[in-house]
Amino acid sequence: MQSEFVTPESLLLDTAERLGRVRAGRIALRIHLSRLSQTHRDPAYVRIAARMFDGLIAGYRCQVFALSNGDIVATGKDMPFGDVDAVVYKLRTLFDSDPLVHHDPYGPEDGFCTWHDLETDYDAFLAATRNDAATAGASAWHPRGQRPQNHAVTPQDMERIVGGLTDTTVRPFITAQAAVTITPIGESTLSFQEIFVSVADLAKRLAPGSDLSGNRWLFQYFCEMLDTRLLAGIQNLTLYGRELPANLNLNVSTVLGHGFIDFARRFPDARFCIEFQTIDIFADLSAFAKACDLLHASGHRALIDGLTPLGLWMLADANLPVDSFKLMWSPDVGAGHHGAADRDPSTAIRALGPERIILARCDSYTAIEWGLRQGIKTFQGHFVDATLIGRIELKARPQDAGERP
Amino acid sequence: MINLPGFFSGEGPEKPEPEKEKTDEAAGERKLMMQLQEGLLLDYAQRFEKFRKQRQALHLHLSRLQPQNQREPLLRAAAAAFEQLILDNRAQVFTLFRGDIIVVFASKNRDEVEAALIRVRFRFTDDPLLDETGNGHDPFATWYVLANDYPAFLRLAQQAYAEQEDRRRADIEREHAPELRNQRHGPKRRLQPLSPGTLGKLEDALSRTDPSNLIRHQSISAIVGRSHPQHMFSEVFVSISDLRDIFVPDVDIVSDAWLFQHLTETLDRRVLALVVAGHDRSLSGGFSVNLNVRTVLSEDFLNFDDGIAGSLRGTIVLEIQLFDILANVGAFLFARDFARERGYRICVDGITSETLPLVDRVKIGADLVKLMWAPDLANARDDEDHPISTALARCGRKRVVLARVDNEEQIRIGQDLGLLMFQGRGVERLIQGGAMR
Repeated sequence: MQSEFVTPESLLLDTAERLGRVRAGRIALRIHLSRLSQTHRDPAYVRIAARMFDGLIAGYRCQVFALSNGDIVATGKDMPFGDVDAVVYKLRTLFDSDPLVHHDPYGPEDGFCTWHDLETDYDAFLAATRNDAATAGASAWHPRGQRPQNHAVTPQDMERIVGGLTDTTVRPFITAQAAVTITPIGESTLSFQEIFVSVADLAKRLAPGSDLSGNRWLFQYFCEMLDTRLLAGIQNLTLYGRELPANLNLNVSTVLGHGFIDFARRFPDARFCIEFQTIDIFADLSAFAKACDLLHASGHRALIDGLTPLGLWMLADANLPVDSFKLMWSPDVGAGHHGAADRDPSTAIRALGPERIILARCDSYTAIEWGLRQGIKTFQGHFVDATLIGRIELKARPQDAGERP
Repeated sequence: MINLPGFFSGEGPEKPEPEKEKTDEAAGERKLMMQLQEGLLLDYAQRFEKFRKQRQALHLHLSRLQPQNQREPLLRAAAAAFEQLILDNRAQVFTLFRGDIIVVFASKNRDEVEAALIRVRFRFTDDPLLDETGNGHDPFATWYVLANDYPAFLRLAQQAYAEQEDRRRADIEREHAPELRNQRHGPKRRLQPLSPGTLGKLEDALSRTDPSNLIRHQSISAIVGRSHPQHMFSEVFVSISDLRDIFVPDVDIVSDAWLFQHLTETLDRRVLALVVAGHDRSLSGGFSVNLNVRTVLSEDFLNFDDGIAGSLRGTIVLEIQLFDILANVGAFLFARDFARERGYRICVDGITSETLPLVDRVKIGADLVKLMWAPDLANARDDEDHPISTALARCGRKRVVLARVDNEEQIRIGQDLGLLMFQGRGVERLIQGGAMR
């Protein structure tokens, strides 16, 4: 059935059908951006990738279609192979940190780019474009899990949202997740608990229909405002019926202000580990260094949260005053292709010392297996919750919510 | 045109001999002014004295229009009315910083210039200025028949030149916006902290305003020994202190680092749009703009890229803050590879003596590193093993700009560390004519 609307897919199909009559000298190529890992599936990247064809468009009237699944299809007549190949090479460079690019480049297994010589390979090209037209829309990206209907937060919205932040509204969303340490003989023990606010759930309550994290600066501001509520909402450090060391996600400004010191006084025997975000650390490194000094002087520790393999690579030689680094697992991490050899996370882990690394967001056995191979001992994530321990939420244990000294 | 790659690979300008210094200084100053329209106008006016008999000039007082009529697209449209005359080499057009247009042409082309003037007038018919033509004096357009009016015209050119000089001097006196960046603790005055609501209102007000009078330039110059600064390119930025004074004098706009970042990102996007509009021709010699990684990946930047001639991209430097790079390394690498493919240069901005040892310029893939002046840099003098010295060596000393230098002493310390490029009030003062002692 013909779609009512003109879509890139229907335009491509139209073009492909017309080309059936004039195949001589024509080629088509498809850049399979839809096969990239989640982190690279970003509409902004596609927009820029499509720009790489500008020279071919100007020089050879090449036609370019950016499909709704993110793939780019280009077709043209008598385009010099060298020129087209240069474009593909540029695209490979742009997506260099994605494993897809490094899987059998230019070989039969190359999943990044497909060439069709339309003189000999027209039918396969036409079939593919028919398939695109039939499935258009169904495979549209939802980049990074954001639902597109959520509207971006404005500063005025943020004023209202932050106005709604009270101890009472935030407390039900305070939750904890444990991490385990796996010993050389394969036993796992509870290592620490991370106490945090489930921002996604809180956002649904405070700003339904808004994409709270979509505007980075306003989101950072929101997190900063949240710190006091988190600290006020923590009543005890008990998880699974026993007291566990606690990790807290805080901003540098909260640690340097009175918020954290006052909080720590409520738990004189506790030793905390504060998890900082890279953006917050480097926005003012000397403030961060002061915060670390302050923490270390009172027996607490500091950790850098939310690192990707590339983040780890950048920081591998930086002598930062922190005790540990949290690497976020994703299938990319273990994929083994990270462009330049030194970008392999194994190299950075060796440089920093595997005992200082925590592997978080472990959602599969593969993650644990990979981590153990690197010498990592501490793990966190849904897979850990489901198999090694079990996840409970503080709010589900009202008996623990009693005031403590 | 400044050739950055040439500079980076070469050994830098030769140290001039002492007796040459004075002339070099004047030449440097003149060279800078000569990149500006006012400089070109004055030069032209002086040179055509002997041909003045056959020439006439028209001065369009666009700066006298109502503010809403001084918006960028309208001013550009006004200049475009003379485009054909310029293309046919029948007229010279100068667009002054304050918005006025001066057209110089051969007398035989007077009719066509008048026709163009009618088109310009038509665009501004709603402006009260165009009604005031009663007593024979036209406040919108002044004609000069140069056979008789040459002295008056020369005075006009001299006056425009002096105004531009004053503006440049005022730029230097004003605070440089990045000094407020990263500043977590606000000024001592009792001011209200910036709230998201106030930020929203401020940004709304800015979106309805032409920010060009808040735009400042600061020169990044090579200074070797005691020679006069050799201008390399200009950083274009919005004066935060002026912006505060005009819009929110009671608010401490740096009280929250994140809300301030939001504001600067909005401003940086405005700068991109203004720069590409090409009103400020003094930027033709190369410039730098501050950008977030996210902005480089945005439609705004692609529009900017479309509006910039390919040959100019090599003279454009994108300044990106270190924390923005580290916040999402993957996005930065993508943006960097795209920008470099297009020919832009990358500068890591906001480096302090604390972050310098953490910067691996090669890993980051930047062309330049901008180090902020701090007194502790002096400790690294004559100490090759000092962490700052090692870090500078790793970055490559020829690729480091020492920014926010206020005086010659700081420049001297930078030179002792082996640095060649400087930016700040101290440099502007030297450009203005003060010699290094």
